[in-house]
Amino acid sequence: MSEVPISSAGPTDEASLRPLDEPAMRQAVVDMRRRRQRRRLGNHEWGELAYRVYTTTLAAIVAVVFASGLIGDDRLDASARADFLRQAPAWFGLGAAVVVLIGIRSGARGGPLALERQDVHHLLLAPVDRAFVLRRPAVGLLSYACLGGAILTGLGAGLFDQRLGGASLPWFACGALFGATLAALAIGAGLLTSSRLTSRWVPLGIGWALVLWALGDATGYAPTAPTTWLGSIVVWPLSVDLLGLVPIGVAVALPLIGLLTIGGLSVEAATRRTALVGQLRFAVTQQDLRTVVLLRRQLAQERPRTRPWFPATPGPVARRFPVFARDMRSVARWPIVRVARVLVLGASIGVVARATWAGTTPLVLVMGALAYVVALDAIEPLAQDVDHPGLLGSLPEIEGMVMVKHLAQPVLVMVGVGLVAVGAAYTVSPDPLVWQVGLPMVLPTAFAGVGGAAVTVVSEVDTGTGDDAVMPPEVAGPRLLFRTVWPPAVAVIGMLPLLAARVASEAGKDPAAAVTTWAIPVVVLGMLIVGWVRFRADIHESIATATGGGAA
Amino acid sequence: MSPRKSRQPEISEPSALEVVGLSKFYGDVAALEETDLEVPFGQSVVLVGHNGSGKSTLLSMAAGVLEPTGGEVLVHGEHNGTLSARAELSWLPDNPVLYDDLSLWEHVEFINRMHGGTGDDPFLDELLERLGVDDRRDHLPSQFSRGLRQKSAIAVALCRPFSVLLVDEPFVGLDASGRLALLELLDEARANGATVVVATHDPDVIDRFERGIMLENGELVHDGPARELHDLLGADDRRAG
Repeated sequence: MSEVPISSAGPTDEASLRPLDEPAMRQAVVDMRRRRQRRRLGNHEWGELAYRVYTTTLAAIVAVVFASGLIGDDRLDASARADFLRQAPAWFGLGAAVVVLIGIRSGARGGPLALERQDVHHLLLAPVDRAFVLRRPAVGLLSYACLGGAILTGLGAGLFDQRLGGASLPWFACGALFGATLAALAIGAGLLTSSRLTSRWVPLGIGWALVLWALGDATGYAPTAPTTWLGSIVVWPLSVDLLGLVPIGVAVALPLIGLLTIGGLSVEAATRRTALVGQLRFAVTQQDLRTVVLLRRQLAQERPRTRPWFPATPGPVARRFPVFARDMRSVARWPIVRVARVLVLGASIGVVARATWAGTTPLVLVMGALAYVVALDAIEPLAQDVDHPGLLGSLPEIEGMVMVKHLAQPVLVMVGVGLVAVGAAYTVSPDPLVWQVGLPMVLPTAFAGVGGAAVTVVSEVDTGTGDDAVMPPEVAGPRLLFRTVWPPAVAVIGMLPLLAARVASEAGKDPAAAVTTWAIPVVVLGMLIVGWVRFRADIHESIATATGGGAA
Repeated sequence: MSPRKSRQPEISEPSALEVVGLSKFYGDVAALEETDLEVPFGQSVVLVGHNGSGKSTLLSMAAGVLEPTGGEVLVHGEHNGTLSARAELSWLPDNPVLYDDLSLWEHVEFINRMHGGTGDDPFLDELLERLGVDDRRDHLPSQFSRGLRQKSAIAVALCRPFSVLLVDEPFVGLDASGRLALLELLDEARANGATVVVATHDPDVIDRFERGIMLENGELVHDGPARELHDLLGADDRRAG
């Protein structure tokens, strides 16, 4: 057999490096992509695709009709219209700032592109300009995001004519323009961040500053934020503010610069992302929040510290309360990013609480959502035990009891978070009333946040009773909805004492007393959840026995 | 493409592969402590060490897949991220990376072209034949067993022009004939002038290499003739035992 001429690639006699025929190499990339695309198109089940388009369109029509009914068609009077015109751009701008921050965060972690692992290995390591290789998927993502954003916000804004007057078309068009601009800004910012022209902390800092500025603007504590100019596009059918053209210009420039510089993408970050994003999407479709949390941490490279922040719980205490001591070790090894996130989210709860107190009632939902997210971090040790059912089951104690013991540490952490929130609220508005209302709010916030997170985590435990199998199929949908909505709803319930305090204050009564009164049912709800955690397996077993089911 | 013979490098020429102060830390955990290494043209190097010793980390950083915390990797004197360096360096990871929707032949054709080949060189056919996968050339790798995927990955790594070959655990999943074919191909690559660096746990192949490097807990603990590794590995195993 003849010798395989591997070194046909080897060093030439003329120079140590081979001359590269870049156009031919680029053409090979193009040809390979065409071949794969043809094969994918050939493998498509067109009937199934048509059915998907049909069901998506049907769902969109149902959603629009439902939203239309929800909005109603009572026209706003002149004063309400003026209020809307004054406030809406800032709130739309706040939403936009959050979306742009998400884009930047994605860019800081090798996104927003999610390449195939094969493309990273074969194309990014090939001697072909990486910007050339990445441009096509980047343009595809940009187009998809702009189109999706335009349709989504266009349909939403198209309903505004019912309350604000005017024809639907201008509302739809301006909403679509807002959505497309926002998508271009978010993707463009992400591409630019991932190209690593500067340290990732620079764009992340800008992103956070924009969000805080937009929040300050929306709640009346800061001058007009640039994101408000973007938000003003939505209300152009009522009043045209030409400053809205500025974000449109930026939305054109950012993706262009991003596409030019995308070759700077980190291969390591792209590799990590390829492996995790697919799993993350699957976990999202399965509503598997625990897996989403774990994969997101891997994506962000959050690793426990090898050197704990504080020493271990003293021996006698650790021997008396081993579960608590183990849980505190977990907190002691939190990476700095998680510590910072919990502190920032805690401070955000305080700032949002202040805005809720000022009269924006729906923000109570944001407060609850923030508390729920922080609690998911705090409850990590319990979640780890749930992740390893063999370990949990091997302990010489009833599983439910061990899980209940795991709840002490997250409540302690959430009390700390609550104190941070009160401190942040006082910083925003230095009024002794903040302490009077805020301190009694700490405990219900902690109980409800941990309660919501515990429901999420413990629901994942397989009780071995096979109760899913005995459930009638009609129950599956509502049950799934309940399991998804109930945990954050518990956290939101924990914030209701604040609204009670506000009402009391407006009525000239003692707000602190109102908080304390309303905190009692919240704490009772927390205790009920503790009971559910303790006896969940017994309850499921009873149900299974009663229905003649049970594990085989 | 025609075979080229190896040559003697000029004294002033840079090394084929040069690792300068390379390190990788995950938080405060060192996957690879600061390491310096120079591999001349045409040398074959075997890299050994226990799990977690830093072999794959070192190779991945040399291939440009992992980013170092400190230091740099030069291929023919060029930073390993440059087009010229990427053209010279072929990387065969421990886990085969193959497209599910391209046949084996399409893999070698396109990858050969992406690296400056014509995509129809007769040596591509011969390569598949020697690895025993020529009858699977029109099959999709997604239908292959682990061993066949490994052979396909080897073909993909060798089907393109290169002068530096980095290989991580190449014998996993290979049958006896595949293993022999790979060893012969690595020998030929070196004989034809390529620099070959292979990380392995297999002590039986050590003698086929000129130079042996041993890593332990992210630190380079031995750099010398490959045959000396037998004593070191034996002593290590005795210690572990």
